[in-house]
Amino acid sequence: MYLGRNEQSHREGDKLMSNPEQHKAVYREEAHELLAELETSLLELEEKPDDAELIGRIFRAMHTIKGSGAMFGFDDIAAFTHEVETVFDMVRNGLLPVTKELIDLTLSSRDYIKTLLDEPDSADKQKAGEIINSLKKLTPKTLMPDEAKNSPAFPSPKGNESGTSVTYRIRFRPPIDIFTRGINPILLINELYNLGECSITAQTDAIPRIVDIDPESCYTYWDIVLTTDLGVNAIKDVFIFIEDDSEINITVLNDSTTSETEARHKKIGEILLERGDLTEKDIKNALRKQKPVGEFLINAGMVDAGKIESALAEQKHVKEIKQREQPADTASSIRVASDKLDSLVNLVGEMVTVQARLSQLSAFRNDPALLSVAEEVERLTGELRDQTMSIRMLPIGTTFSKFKRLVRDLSKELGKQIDMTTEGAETELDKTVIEKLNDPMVHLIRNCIDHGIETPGIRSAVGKPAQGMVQLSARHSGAYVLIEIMDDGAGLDADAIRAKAVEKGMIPPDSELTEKEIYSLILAPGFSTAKKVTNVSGRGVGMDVVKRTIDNLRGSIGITSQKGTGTTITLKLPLTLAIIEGLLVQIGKEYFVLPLSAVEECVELTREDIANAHGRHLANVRGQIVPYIRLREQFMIIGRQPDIEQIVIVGVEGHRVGFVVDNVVGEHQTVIKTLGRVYKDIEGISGATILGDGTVALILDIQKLVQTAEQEEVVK
Amino acid sequence: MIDIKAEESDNNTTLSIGGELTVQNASALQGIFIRSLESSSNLTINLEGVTDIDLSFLQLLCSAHRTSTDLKKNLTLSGACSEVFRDVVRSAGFLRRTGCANDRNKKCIWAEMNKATEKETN
Repeated sequence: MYLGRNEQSHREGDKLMSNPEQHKAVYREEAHELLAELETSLLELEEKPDDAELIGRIFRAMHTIKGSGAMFGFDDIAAFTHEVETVFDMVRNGLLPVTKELIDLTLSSRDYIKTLLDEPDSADKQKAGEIINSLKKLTPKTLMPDEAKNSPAFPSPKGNESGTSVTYRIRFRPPIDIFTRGINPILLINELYNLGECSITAQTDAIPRIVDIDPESCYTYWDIVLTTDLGVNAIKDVFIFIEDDSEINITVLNDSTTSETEARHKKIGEILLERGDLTEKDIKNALRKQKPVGEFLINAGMVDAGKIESALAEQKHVKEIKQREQPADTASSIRVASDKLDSLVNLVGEMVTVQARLSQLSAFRNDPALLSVAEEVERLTGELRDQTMSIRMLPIGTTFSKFKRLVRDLSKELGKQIDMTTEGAETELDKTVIEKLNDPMVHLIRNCIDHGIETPGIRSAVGKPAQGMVQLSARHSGAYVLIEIMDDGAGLDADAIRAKAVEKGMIPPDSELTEKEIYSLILAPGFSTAKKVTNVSGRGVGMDVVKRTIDNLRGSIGITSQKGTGTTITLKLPLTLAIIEGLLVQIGKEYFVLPLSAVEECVELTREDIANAHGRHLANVRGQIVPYIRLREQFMIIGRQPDIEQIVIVGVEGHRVGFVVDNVVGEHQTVIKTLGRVYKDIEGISGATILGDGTVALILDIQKLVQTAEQEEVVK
Repeated sequence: MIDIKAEESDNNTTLSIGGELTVQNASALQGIFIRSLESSSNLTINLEGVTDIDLSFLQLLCSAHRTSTDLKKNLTLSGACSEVFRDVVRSAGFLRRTGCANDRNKKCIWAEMNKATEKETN
């Protein structure tokens, strides 16, 4: 059994039983998730130090990391986490307050566990010792549990400590002299109510007659049925003070991994009925004469009624829990390795290509039967594509919460007070996009904190609240997701940027630039206005890398800023990288695809228009002047252009730019294929796709083409 | 502190027990039960004035009831009892549907209490 995430992951695991390495991989994956959860919860706890549920979550995460770590041979992790867990157990029991120091230490512990997980060889044992010592210093001496009594650093046999509920049967017989030890057994068993759903039956059969009873002895014992997701150790913890002198039997009745058929045996009547040996009426008649087995056993003097009582309570309890679990089952999820998903997406891509071919062929054959089949296939393929894409979508919230830690640590390091808020964490993006987004986002947030937000002193001086603000937000906008990183810091200094750009020879001193153009200079390679290079940012290698990454994701960066009030950086990213809606165009015998989301309209370009423009590449579209790029020239395609050409007008960074092509073929489902390493530096082409008849069409990188054309224009 | 009042008429005794029915007072309470069971054959126990109670008293009640059955006497709880008493009986898991093997007259005090509570909730 693994970390008890869900049933499916157990099943998945069963197949891997034979290979310990795969086992470890599963553990690593889940441990990473738990560590992420730990981090988020800790940061939340810092804001809400009294939240018992959060403390519980943190404790459970650590408990699971520890327990499963020991199972799969990560002994270092188990031992280290055990120490931290012990401290958090005290927090959980209200013996230790949540302080900033505690959270700092726990966060460092979390980082250390991560190191142990990723690069165990580079783990610094001394650092671990320091963390543990500091943690121990936080705890009052008297509270440290006796080492020998410590709950062992390995999990219970079931190890089922996170999330899934297990029903336990507990028999608790306290020592006869429990009263004289000053312990109230009722309070003790009442603690079990806090662990989960609980049925308690007192067994009184040992109580003697009034003349024989020692009124200060305990004759009662209890049968308890408890359903909890906290694991057997939590139950043992309740009885920890008297476990040596008490009889405590804990057995697992069922956990959610027991399937329905295992959990329930058929009754004899049911079997006979199934075989046709009896009719339902026969059984009913027979049953009417029969007493319930419990009553029968009591009458026969075979068991004490109290035992039956507790058995009935158990039956009822289990039934109730079962009923409640039913709806939860339907919402279950399944864990799948991401490369399986990738190959599924690839297959769907192939499918879309083949379907395009089928549609083309059937249109050519003009066979009605074939046409209808082709249409059906087209519809299904479309659905399949959408479904597959949606599987790859992940909410961006996980990335956001990672940044919370970054903001916290950086602001501490730089002596600034910063509050980070997030919005639209549920916005979904393709998994690959999210992964690739991490580094640019880190850089942008660092910039906000380092350059953007001022120190509390300066902020107060200019009349802003001492605490700065960074807001991350994400939202859908058509086929794109917009991610905004907004701060209320000093804003960009347009004059400083301009001066720097002139100094670096990036722009001529007399050039006239709009504010927006000036801001975009900071994205150029080798640009940094920070007077001092700090540990955090300012080496001038950042923003251009950010830009390149976002470009590679077919996204764009927008910057708006107001000096003194703050900066907003907007990343515009495509929803998915694998398949896009494209506009297929033709030049000579070559085919090209433009991303349809950027296309605004298509207009004709006649020879007359060209003559009217006096050699400049400008078209008059309803009175508006639109510059255009001749793709035929751009790609040096030989052959004669048709008399009437087409301009595909696209929107690039707020401008309208035309691309002149021979012919617009139409909309095309474009499965994006990368061009391979040899062609990766080619500018203006972002990939390729395979058309229905097998020919290759190149996908145009509109932004790059426009930029290149602009630069050429400047040179002229 | 415990506080005891006994009303006797013929063979019926109503014993009102109040205060802290905890292990500190358990010996005294045992004595009271023994004497009451000796002197009367119908014993009604009123627990309206209970302010604190622990397991020791629940055991004494159970024991007294068993003894009354052996002696062919009646021991019942009066319908009125304090919330504290009810709470402890419930949370200690004493409420039950049928009496134990000793309960030959089907008069188990816990089962009777359970019936009363079920009636209330219905």
